[in-house]
Amino acid sequence: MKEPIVTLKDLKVHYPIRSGFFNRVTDRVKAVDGVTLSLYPGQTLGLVGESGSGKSTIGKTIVGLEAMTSGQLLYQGQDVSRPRQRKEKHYNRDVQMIFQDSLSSLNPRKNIYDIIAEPIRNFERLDPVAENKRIRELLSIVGLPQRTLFQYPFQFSGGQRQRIGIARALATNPKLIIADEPVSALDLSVQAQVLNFMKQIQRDLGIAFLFISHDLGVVRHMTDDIAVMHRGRLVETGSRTDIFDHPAHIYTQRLLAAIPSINVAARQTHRQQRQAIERVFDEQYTDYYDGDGLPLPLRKLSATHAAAIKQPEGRD
Amino acid sequence: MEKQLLLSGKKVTVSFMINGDWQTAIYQVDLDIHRDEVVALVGESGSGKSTFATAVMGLHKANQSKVTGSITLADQELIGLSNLEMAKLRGEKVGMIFQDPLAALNPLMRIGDQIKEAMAMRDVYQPSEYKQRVLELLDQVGIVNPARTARQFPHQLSGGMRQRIMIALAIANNPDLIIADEPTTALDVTIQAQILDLIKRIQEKKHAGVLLITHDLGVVAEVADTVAVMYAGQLVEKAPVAELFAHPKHPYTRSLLKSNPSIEQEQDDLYVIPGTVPALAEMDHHKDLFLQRVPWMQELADQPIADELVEVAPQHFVRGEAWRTFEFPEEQVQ
Repeated sequence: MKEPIVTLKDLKVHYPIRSGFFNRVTDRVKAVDGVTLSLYPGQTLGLVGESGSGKSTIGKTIVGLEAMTSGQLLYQGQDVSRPRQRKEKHYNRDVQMIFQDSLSSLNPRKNIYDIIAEPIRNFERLDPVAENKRIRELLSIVGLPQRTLFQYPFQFSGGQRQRIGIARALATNPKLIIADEPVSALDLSVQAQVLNFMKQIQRDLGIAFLFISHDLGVVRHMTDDIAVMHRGRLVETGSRTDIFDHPAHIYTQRLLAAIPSINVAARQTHRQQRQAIERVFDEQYTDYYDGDGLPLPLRKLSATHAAAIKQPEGRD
Repeated sequence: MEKQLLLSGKKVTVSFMINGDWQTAIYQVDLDIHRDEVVALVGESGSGKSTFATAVMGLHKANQSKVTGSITLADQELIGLSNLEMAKLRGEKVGMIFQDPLAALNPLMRIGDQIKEAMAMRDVYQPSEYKQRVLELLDQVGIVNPARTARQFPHQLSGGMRQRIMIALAIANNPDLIIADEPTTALDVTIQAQILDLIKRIQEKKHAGVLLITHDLGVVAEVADTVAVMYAGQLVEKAPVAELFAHPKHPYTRSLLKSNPSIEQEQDDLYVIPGTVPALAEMDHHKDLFLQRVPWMQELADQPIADELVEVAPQHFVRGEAWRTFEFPEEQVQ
């Protein structure tokens, strides 16, 4: 088996809640509470869950935008939990991120040339001619016309801006890209364009993707493997078939049942199914969650499939 | 049995004053809503769905916009009503659910007081009855502990709870028509399913008509009875929900359905609609504007077509003739 690019070991990210006269820490929000996860070269992993489940926090922690409370971040087997270590191992160059809001993640005072040049200037130190060539190359990879090179972010549509964000992420030839809800702000037709495009660069360049999304339809389309999060922990991981055809955890089943189906004829049965699963979720809650309402530890079901359930099905 | 006609929009046109010019945002929209009917208005951002809803609510500013055509609610003409008359209708006859409940609720008022305020405008209850009525409403929208929630402020509630409060506000005066503008867009799928069920249940119980504005085709398929598809300020297709999903006709509807990542089946590549929605100033509403984005049908794109939709099957209306010849290019068919 190949060596993972990035491994998270028992990651915990807790935020302190301060209150009272001395502003003391009175409680903690456990945004991520013990997540272990590996990303392999060329793999696309979908991370799904409802808002507040901690999926974005994981993405931010991997690129170093969020400090870990405890746990370990490994890059090709080496510890890069500290910013200093990340710098030594060129981690920041090799792991890039695409954000949800393309307008706020691009500097409004810089033109496209400078936006894409920034990571190159930061990590590669090319001479001006080579830099220019590289930027024009990136622009054509993301399918934007060369004449837009000196325009500013506000002059682009949402889909175009998202592609500029992708060009910037590609600028340093990364090994892994974290995409945090990259299409959820886009219209359907534009969304299709960006998704196809991301799929294509993933095929052509073999970059690994961590695709964070709440939209299971998009995740199914984009990723080979899926991890489902709930309340700061993983509740199920597996291949696309494992998750969509044989969901083992009740939360995954609930999530799948809640997706609106475009099959009009079956909408009555679909609704009944959904309500039945809601009932099961309430009834069997304690089989899947511990006394604090946290998901149980993951248990391996097959080589690819793991779920946070009490015991393997069909066995004592 | 013929259902009672509730809202009837005839040739509704809305223009805005932009940079000293009148620009048409929606053009000649015909849309009827009956009792016991959920009509979904579908389209991408900028297609004019919300502009239509805002026109029905009479919320366009008079000095910056121009609404023409006719909107009747239970035989009463709404266009031309004064602000005061319109304010009376809002809430009493029409209830509105907005996308962002946090922005629509008053952050400084307790939930119970906000609902009370909405009812107090009508002056139908004795002061002593309000409290009971507020609790009833909260219970109706599925709030587990109404007495406690009534004392809370909006920021103390979750997104799903807030949307339930919005629904309680919208139905506080038993309106005949409920307009829901992207009611579940800001919510998680599990919560979305609950809120959609709730809207459907309330609609059935009160025999209300619902105008559901959304861009999510899945949501449409789940709750709508009739679907109207909008592109660049005009309706392009209107049909009963099963008919529309089974036999979409207009090129835009078909493209939209094809670019939707499906949960049921795997596709290699999604269909991409070339080009973008034209800017407001560039919209020539006498043509089929979507054809600009169909490179292989350019000869039809410049031909003027009628504003009205044509009935091509029972209750199925399509604009223009392009759908008869429209096909996806070869490489997209496989």
